[in-house]
Amino acid sequence: VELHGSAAERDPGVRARPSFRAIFDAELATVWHVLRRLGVHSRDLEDQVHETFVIVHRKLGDYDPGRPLRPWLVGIAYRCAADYRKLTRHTRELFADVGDPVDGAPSADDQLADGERRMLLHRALATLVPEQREAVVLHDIEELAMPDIAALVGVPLATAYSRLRLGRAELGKAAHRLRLREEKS
Amino acid sequence: MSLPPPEPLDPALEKLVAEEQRAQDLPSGASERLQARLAPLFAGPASAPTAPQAPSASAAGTKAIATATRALRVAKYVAVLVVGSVLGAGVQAAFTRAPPVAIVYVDRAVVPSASGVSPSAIAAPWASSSAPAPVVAPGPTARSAGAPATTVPLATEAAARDLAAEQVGLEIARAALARGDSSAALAATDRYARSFPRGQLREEADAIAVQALARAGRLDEARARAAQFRRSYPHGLFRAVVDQAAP
Repeated sequence: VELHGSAAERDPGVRARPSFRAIFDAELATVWHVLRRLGVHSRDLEDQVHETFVIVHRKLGDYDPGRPLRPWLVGIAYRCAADYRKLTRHTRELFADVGDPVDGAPSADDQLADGERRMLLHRALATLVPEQREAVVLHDIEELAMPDIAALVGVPLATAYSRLRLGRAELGKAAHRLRLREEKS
Repeated sequence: MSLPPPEPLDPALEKLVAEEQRAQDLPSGASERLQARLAPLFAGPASAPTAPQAPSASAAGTKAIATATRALRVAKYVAVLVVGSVLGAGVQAAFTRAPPVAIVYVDRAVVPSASGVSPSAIAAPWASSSAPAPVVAPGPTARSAGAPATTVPLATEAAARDLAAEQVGLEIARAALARGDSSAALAATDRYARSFPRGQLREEADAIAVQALARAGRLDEARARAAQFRRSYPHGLFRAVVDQAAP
C-alpha cells in the first residue's frame, strides 16, 4: 500500500515516457489486481506479476507516452493471464481460492462490509466462463473501451459486446445467489 | 464499427465494481519481494551477476546509458564467443573463469526451433499490442542465417536489451526447480521460451525443462527433450546436468 502514491501518480497517462521504476511503483497494485480478477490463482499471483513486469520492461520502448498508460498495462497483464491459463489449463477453478475469509456467514461487523462486498464480487466473477469474465473485468472494472477489448482479445466487436452482456447477466445472478446464501447461513 | 457504448451497469453491480476498482491492497511483503526480484530491471545491469556497474535508472536518460553499457558488454561477449565456437571444448575452461561469457556462448549455440515452438506461435500472443517489439522485428530467421557479419549486430542489440530481462524471467524457473516444483518449472521455461524466442539463456531454460520433466517422472519426455538438447548444444555448458537428469 505504501508504494502506490497519489492519484496523480496512479494515472500517469501523460507526455514523457515513464521509467520502468515509476511504472512499477505506481502500478504494482493495478497489475496485481488485474491479474487476480482475470483468474490468476493467488498462489501464482506473485510470479505472474513478476512476469508481467518483465514484459513491461521489455516492451517499454513500444509504449506511446501520448496515450494513457493504464490500458497498455492492462493489455500486457491480460496476455500474461491468458497465457497463464493456457499453460496451467486452469479454467473455472481459478477463483476457488478467493474465499477463505468468507467461509461461513458474513460478520455483522460493519467494518468488514466493504471487504465482504469485494469478496462477493470475486466469488461471483469466479462463476463466469473465462470469456465473459474477461469482458466484464476489462470493461466494467478496468474501463477499457469495447473496441480495444475486442482487439486485445481477438474477437469481433459484436462478440465482445455479447460476452459483456451475458457476463453481466451471469454476474448479477451469481452475486444475487451468493448474497442470499450468505444471508441464510 | 459504431456500436453504442454498453448500457450502464445495474446499480447493485455498480456498487460492487466501484469498490473493487478502488482496491490497492497487496499481501504483506509482496511489493518488497517483487522489488527484490525485479531489481536487475530497475538498476539496469548493475545487480546482474555479470554487470560492471550502473546507477539506479530513475530517468529515461539513465536508461539509455544503461542500454549502451549493456550493448558494449554484450559486444565483448560476442567477440569472445566467436573464438569460443572455434576452439570448441577448450572454451569451457574460459567459461568457468568468466561466467558471463557462458551466457553468450549459449546464445550462439542455439539451433532454431530447438524447443519445438514455432516462431509465429511465439510471436502471436504479444503481437496485437500497440506496436511490434523492435527486438523481434528482424525476424526469426536472422539468427539462423549463418552469416555472423550481418546477424551479430542485430543479435547484439537485442541481447543488450533483453539480457537483464531474461535473467529475471528465468529466475522463476530456477527457483521452481530448486524447490522441486516441476510443473511450475516447466510452465516457467515454456513461458520463457515464448517471451524470449531468441533468448540468450535458452540452453539453461531447456536444461531446466529436462530436469523438471525427469523429476516429474515424465521420463520419455525428458529423454526426448534431452536428445534434442544434445543436438542443439553438443558442447553445452548444461550438457552434464542434462545427461545426469536423462541419461
